[in-house]
Parts: sequence; C-alpha cells; structure tokens
Amino acid sequence: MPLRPTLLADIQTALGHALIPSLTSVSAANDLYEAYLFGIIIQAARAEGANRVDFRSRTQTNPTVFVFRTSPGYLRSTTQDYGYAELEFHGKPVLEVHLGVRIAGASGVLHECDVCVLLQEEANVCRNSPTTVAPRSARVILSVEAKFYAGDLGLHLGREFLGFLSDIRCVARRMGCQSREQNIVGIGGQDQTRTAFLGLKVGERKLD
Amino acid sequence: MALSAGEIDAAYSALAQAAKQYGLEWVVEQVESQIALGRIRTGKVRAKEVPLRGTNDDEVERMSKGRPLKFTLSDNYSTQEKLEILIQALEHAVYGVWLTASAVSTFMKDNIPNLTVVEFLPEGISKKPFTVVDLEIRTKQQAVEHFQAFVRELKEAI
Repeated sequence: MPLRPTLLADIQTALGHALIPSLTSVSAANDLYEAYLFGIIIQAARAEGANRVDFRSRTQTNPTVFVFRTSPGYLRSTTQDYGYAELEFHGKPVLEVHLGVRIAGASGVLHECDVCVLLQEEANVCRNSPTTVAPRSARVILSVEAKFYAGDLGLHLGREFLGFLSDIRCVARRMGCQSREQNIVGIGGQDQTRTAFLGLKVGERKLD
Repeated sequence: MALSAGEIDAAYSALAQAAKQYGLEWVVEQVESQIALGRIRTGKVRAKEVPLRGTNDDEVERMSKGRPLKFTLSDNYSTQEKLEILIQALEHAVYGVWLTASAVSTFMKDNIPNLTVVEFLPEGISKKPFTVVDLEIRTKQQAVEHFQAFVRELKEAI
C-alpha cells in the first residue's frame, strides 16, 4: 500500500495535539508510572482483604491536594505535605504505602524505593524523630523499582536492581516496568537473577 | 506494495524529528540505543570458521574443533524493523503515558472525596513539578485516538 502523501505530516500534527505538555519528559512518565503502581498496590491490598484504606498526608486525611513525591526523600520531611496510604488488615500491623522514600539497606547505604509498603510503626519512628532517620529495609514489606521505558529494557536496569536486591532485606522486592513490549514485569524470588536480566513478562494488571 | 527503503528512511527521520520537536528526545534516544544493540539471540556458530587472529587467510589461526558452539549473537535490524520499533515506542510514549495518567487520575478521584488536584513535586532537587488534571486528560482522548489512527495507517503501509 503506498504511503498517503500527507500521512507523515498528519502524524506529526497529531503527535503535537495528543501530548500533554507537562507529561512529555521521561521523568514525568516515570513518576506517573510510580503513582500507577501505588494504585495497583492499594487495589491488591483490597483484593487481599484490607479492611481499611485511608489516603493521608502528614497533616490531613483525604487531602484535597494529593502530592506524590518525585525525588527520593525522608519520611520526616516537611518540604511538602506528601501523600501516602494507610492499609489495615484484621489482626495485623498497620501498613503505609509511600512513593520515593529513602530506606536503609543492610549495609547502611540508603536506597530509594520508588514505591514501598512498610510498617506504620517504623514510619512513625522516622516521621516523628527529632533527627532524620531512614526506615530499615527489614521493616519494609514491599519495595518496587518502577521503570517506564519506550524501548526495550537496558542491561543496566537489571544490574542496578540486582545490586539493590543484595542489600535490601524486605519481604518482597519487585521491579515494575512498562516498556515497548512489556507492561508490568514482576521480578524477584528464587530465579531473580535470570528474570532481572530477561525482563520476563509475568502478568498484566490495570487500574480500571 | 510495501514501502521502498527510501520511503521508510524518510518516515523514520520525520517521526524522529517530530518526537524531538515535542520533547520526546528520550524516546528517540532509547530507540537508537536499542537499534545499536541489535536483536540479541543465542545461536550456534561453527567455531572453525572464526579466525582467531590475523586477517590474512594464510596466516590466521583457527579453533581446532569444528563443532558448533553456543554464542550470544546480535542481528542488525532492517530499516523496516527500525521504523516499527520507533513507531511502537512513540505509541507507548503517547498512548501509554496518556493511559497511565488517566488511570492515576481516575483512581485518585474515585478514592479521595473532594480531591481537586494530584501534584507531583520533587524534594530538595531541581526537577520540574507537574500536576495531573483530570479534565486535561479527558480532553486529550480524541487527539490520542487520532494519533493512533494515523500510526495504524502507517503500520499498514510498511
């Protein structure tokens, strides 16, 4: 089929109209994807029987302006009134879901968790401490590394994630990726080395 | 009739240029990086045929064993495949980002009563903040669908 003479120009014009100017950068795409995974985790918690899910910030419940953190920070920070979610399961310790929080690995090195679920007790210690304290990775239930890629996943992502895994002692560690051919990629467990490098597609879930 | 190599090259250049023009340089960079890497596969190569040293046939040393050995190989993408990779990446950056923004907006709106805006703000570093505005996302839906329709037409023509 021959190329319609104006097709390329039509695509160029349509591209300009389709984009939301504030969301064209790679960092915005990654930040949005982290927020997407935040929602996935909350949906998963509900599916697993969470009896309470609250959206909070340091100062409010159900804030009218919900602020996601887009660069690694500490729970104690008051720079912005960052939002998070509280999860409660019957008879279990209360959990919190955060974006972009620094946590301490077994080595004492600080790592950024793109999305993390941790014990509220640990979060409270860090939030209310007079000094800046990072949550211990052993008190983190789930840590997710989020990557939004337009092409295939690069080798360095697997390498970085394996380094992260070796220092993090939380229960579940996952790498969530959206790339050209993979939507949600879960990585971890016994075969994590191989899956980290191959980027195996293990499932796809949508928010709505 | 499929597009000629010249038409495919022209289409690739036009799309890459448009992507850069609209702030999607990162998409082109990721695509170019992938193309440079080639299509990776494992395959058997008969080692006997691989010169170990030298370029002159009379002087080269060769592996003594003639049985095929397993190697990781990289195949170059064809011009058509390169264009297809760029198109897929652009679709992902346009439709994928829109869909993600839409899902986030809907989820937050459905879960927080009286939510007015979702903000994305950095802490302590120079990074551009942004907001997700539900109305803005909804109003882009038609434009995203137009883009997809044109891209589909291009894919059918390749």
